[in-house]
Amino acid sequence: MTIKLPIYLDYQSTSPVDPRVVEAVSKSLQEDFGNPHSRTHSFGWSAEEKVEIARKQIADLINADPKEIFFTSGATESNNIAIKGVANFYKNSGKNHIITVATEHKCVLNSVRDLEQEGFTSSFLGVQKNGLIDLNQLESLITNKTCLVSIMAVNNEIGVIQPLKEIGQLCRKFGVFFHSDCAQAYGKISLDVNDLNLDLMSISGHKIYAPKGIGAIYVRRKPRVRIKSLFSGGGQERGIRCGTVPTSLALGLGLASEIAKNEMTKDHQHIKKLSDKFLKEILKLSHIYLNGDQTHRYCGNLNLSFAGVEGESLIMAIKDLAVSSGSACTSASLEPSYVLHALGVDDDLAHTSIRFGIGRFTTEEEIDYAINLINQKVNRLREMSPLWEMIQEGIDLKSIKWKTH
Amino acid sequence: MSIYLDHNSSTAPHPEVVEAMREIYKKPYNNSATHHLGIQAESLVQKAIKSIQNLLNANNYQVIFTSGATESSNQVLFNCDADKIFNSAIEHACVYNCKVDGKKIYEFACDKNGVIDLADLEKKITNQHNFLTSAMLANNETGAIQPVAEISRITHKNLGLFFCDIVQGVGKIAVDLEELNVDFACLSAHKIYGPQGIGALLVRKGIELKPLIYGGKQQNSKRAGTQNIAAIVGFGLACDIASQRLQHFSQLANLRNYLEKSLKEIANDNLKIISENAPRLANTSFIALKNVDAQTQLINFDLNKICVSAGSACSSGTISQSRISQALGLEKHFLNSAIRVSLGFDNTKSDIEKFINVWYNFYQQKFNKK
Repeated sequence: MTIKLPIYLDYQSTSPVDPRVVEAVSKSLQEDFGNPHSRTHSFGWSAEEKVEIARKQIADLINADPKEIFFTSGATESNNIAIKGVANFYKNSGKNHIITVATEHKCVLNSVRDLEQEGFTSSFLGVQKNGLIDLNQLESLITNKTCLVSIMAVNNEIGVIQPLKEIGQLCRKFGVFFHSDCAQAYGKISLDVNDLNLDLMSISGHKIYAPKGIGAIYVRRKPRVRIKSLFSGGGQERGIRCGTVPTSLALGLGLASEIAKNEMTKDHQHIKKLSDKFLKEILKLSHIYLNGDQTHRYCGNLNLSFAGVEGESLIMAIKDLAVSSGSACTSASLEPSYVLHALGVDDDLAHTSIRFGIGRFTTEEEIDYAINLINQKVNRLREMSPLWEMIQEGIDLKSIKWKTH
Repeated sequence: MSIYLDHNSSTAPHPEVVEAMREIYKKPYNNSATHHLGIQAESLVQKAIKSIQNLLNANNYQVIFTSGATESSNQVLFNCDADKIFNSAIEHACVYNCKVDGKKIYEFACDKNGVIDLADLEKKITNQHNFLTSAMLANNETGAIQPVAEISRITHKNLGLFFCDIVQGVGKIAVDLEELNVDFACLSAHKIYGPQGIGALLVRKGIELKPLIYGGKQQNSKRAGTQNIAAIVGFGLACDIASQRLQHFSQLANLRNYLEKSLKEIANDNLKIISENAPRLANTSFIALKNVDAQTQLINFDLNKICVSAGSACSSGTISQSRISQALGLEKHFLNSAIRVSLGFDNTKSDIEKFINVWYNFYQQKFNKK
């Protein structure tokens, strides 16, 4: 079988839409064009019905009530709504402190920073070497002013899974709202909002084989979480998110969620098998480091540092693989990853890091091809590298004083 | 088969738009990614931006893609550099209902024809400082086209900023942002035969506007979030088609006029076409029937498989009295009794005849038994 190049290994950035979803969305674009908020005719009702089915499909995947699910344009918007919405609603009750983690997605960090401008205070919790938070440290940051803790489930750059259940228990004990950015986890690992004591969850469509431009936010009803909406308008989505709900996109997210629910075990087995093989073979090269905790991780995300090669040259050398050196939204800039920095990975090694994302449509042939290519190119680049010689001789590169000419 | 006469609410995407989107969906495009799929995606986004700029003569405007016009208008109202906002009385709910912390909201009136009252605007903004005027290009319910170039002139003369909601004008009349001299404009794809879930905000180059949604550095840090590539491509294509079909669209006036003439012959003074004497969009008719609740009319149309509305879709949930009809100062017996017919490219004369027929039967029931 011939392999189609380039091979897509960037599933954390985005995923192709599942063919079943493509068909359903394309059909829906033509059929369900009514405005789902039109209460006066059958086109509107039928569109609304589709939206409500999708809402239930999403709720079912996380053990929520459909009334707790609101459609948004994506996880970035959901994160903005959750963080600013809760903070702004409860600010008059004297709670003005937000806790998040240094390795969160930019949209979480920047939402919190935006709130700082408005007079809120915040704590950016660091992570351990393995990328996981320390629960004791989290507990020590919670004060009677703390309103919200926002901690992601699966990290987008390194794939580690934070201990949501323990965080949820802690938040509940102290009466603090718990939000989690689950863009990289929803549909991939099992999430139960009640088991995890989650109050708010952000959901993305295009990371789970649904279209871009659609996401959702879960907002707990019991005990009720109130939020001040990010925008106002026609009052759609019970005022939490105004604007016409795009029926076909919502339908796509609903269907993708249902497929994810039914096929989660199958997906996981498939991805785990490929991921294990890839990792085992690549680690045969020496001085390769898997970033983040080795066990508490999502198997479809492997972030590897290649000592003795330069990251950009490696990406150029393996152009047949569509991969990324960090999250897509920051990868256009060449600054080293702030996530790896937070783990204490030094900049030299961080510069050699590449994220390999494996997904539902990755094949074993593609993984074999990738393993071969990486083997070849890493060896070649290392042969040319004076640094590699030094590393092999056991010289600590940090001890070298570089001369400038 | 139902007859759809609610195109101001939403339109079905053109088949070629759906086809283009279907192709994009098959590929994992993220235009922020640095690999070649990312670069391809970015060139598709740039092409769509060009299509929008061409349709609106907007080369001097930055195009920011958003989830729709509601988000676009919120970004302007919340983050524009002004501490007072002057809304016209007939603005869409997403503008009219926007409560912005720290900004004072004022209103200016429209006349009996549903056209913005320039004298009232001028009176209210004279000697004001640091303000934004917000006025729509064409009203979604009445179809009345507003004197936007004049509003813009008066606003700028008084050193204000001008935001124009062009949602209902785009694809229906020629829109030239340079000529209208607006500072901000918002539009929506699903009103011009593009997909739902995508819209744009146009900001005149040189004007700074903070984001509403924070996150990654997409779209020059003006709007975070992975871009909705398929919908953006669909939107761009819808704009290309719209610019070719403006003439075709204006011909919908023939059907609309035929409809209005026929109804008037049936009902005479029991009927009022709202904004009839204003310049109007070719496809829109807002028809009030004396002392007959709009709700009752809608039920009747629905039973006869005709889709119309009582006005803006988004304010429903509960069908409230049209705020616009109130702003126009309609006589009491016409106040809660108007339905909106908005035609689209696929409507035919036989659709209109069926509508007239249904309307006639209903009218007989209501008026001739009295």
